[in-house]
Amino acid sequence: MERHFDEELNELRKEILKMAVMTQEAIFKSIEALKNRDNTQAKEVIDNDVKIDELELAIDERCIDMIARRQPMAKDLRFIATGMKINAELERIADLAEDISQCVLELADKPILKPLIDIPKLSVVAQNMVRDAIDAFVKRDIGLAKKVVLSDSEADKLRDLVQGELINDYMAKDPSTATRAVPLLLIARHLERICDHTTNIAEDVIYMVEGKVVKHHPEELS
Amino acid sequence: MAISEGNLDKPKIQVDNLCLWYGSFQALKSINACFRDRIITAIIGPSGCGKSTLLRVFNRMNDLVEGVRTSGKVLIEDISISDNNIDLVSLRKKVGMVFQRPNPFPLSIYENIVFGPRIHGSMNKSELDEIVEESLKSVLLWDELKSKLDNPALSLSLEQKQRLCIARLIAVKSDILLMDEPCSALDPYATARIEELMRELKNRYTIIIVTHNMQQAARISDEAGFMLLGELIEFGATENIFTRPTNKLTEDYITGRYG
Repeated sequence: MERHFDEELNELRKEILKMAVMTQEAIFKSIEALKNRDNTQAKEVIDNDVKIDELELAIDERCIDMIARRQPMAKDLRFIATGMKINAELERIADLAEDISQCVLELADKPILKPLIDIPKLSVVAQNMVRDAIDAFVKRDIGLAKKVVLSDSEADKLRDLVQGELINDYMAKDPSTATRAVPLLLIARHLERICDHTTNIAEDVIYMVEGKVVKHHPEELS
Repeated sequence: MAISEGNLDKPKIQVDNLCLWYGSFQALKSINACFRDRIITAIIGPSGCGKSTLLRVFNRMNDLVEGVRTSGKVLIEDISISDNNIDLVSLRKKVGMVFQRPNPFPLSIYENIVFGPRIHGSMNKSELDEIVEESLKSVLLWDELKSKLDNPALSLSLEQKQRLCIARLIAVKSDILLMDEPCSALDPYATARIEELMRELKNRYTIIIVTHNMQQAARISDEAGFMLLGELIEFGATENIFTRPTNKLTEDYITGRYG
């Protein structure tokens, strides 16, 4: 039986997708700004965050309204509950993109410390994870969601690499590099945090589809 | 018989391969289920799915319907209730029922409550007074009604009448309470109060409720079963039934996709 409720759920799905697209764009632009030393683009990301915050509130309100009016059960309930959580994760991810852009602005008037190698690699991992997590949400694809969860360790490794290099090869040897090394270190950390939030999204998708809680239960993944 | 604390996980009612026919129509198809003591079990399902029929099996109310036939087993505390030699009066005393419309007798409040105990044994006035007080206290009506015990029961509000009907079961020491849509005639406030009462009572009784109100089943039950076309499709912990049912038919019904 077709329900009017299905249309409402579809609207919610579209809004979350819009949120995801805006968040992905924020990450992409913040990394582009870093690579190209493009302050305009970095400022754009920072200015645009308010729109993402507004959408987050609107999605939250929509979810609460649906719970109050429809008293959803079973997979409808899981979809809305997951939608709320993914919404919050995306907002945090967008904030981290904003933080990356702030670091880009800090680096703007300073000479380049070193060519960027591992940070762009880490940013590709992060962007792929976000894309796959959202794809998994849309297609209800458990396999893809699991892949995202398992990719997180790659991000951790790259972050450690960046961190080790910046501390040992630069800051320890020449403390005056710290003003340039610390923003880079923070960027690596922000990217790694993006991957953590994305892992949460993928875990939420698994709950949404199967009703199974894998968060904090890695053994449930197999 | 009081159930000892250690027996809580033992089923109070066990249903094995139960089938029931009204003439040639099969209303229950191979039902297997356990109903546990001191919890509330809800049975949900669309009209005509057999949920009320199943409820009425437990005190053999279906015997009153002509042409009814059953097979399979129903055990209450390990005693088969389908045997011909079972004492129906004591079965119905043990397994009491509350209906959709409260049905007090056209007698005083006091007489409504002592009606059962009088039938089941002669008692003196002070014993009966005690039963009235205890039963009304159990359903939280005593303070409201203790000075009006001689008033006609029919003068009570719908909610009070429903509470009185529950008190009548408590008066005869029923220990299984069957409730067939007990709140469907009540407003939301009275419904909430009856649900609170059910929560109080579940510490002492086995309660089985049939309801069309899915939110009510989700709110008050500990375990729930979904029936469709005479079959028990899914039975389990309420939290699982309403958040992650395993059967698609259950999922479709509770999300309103049925039909």
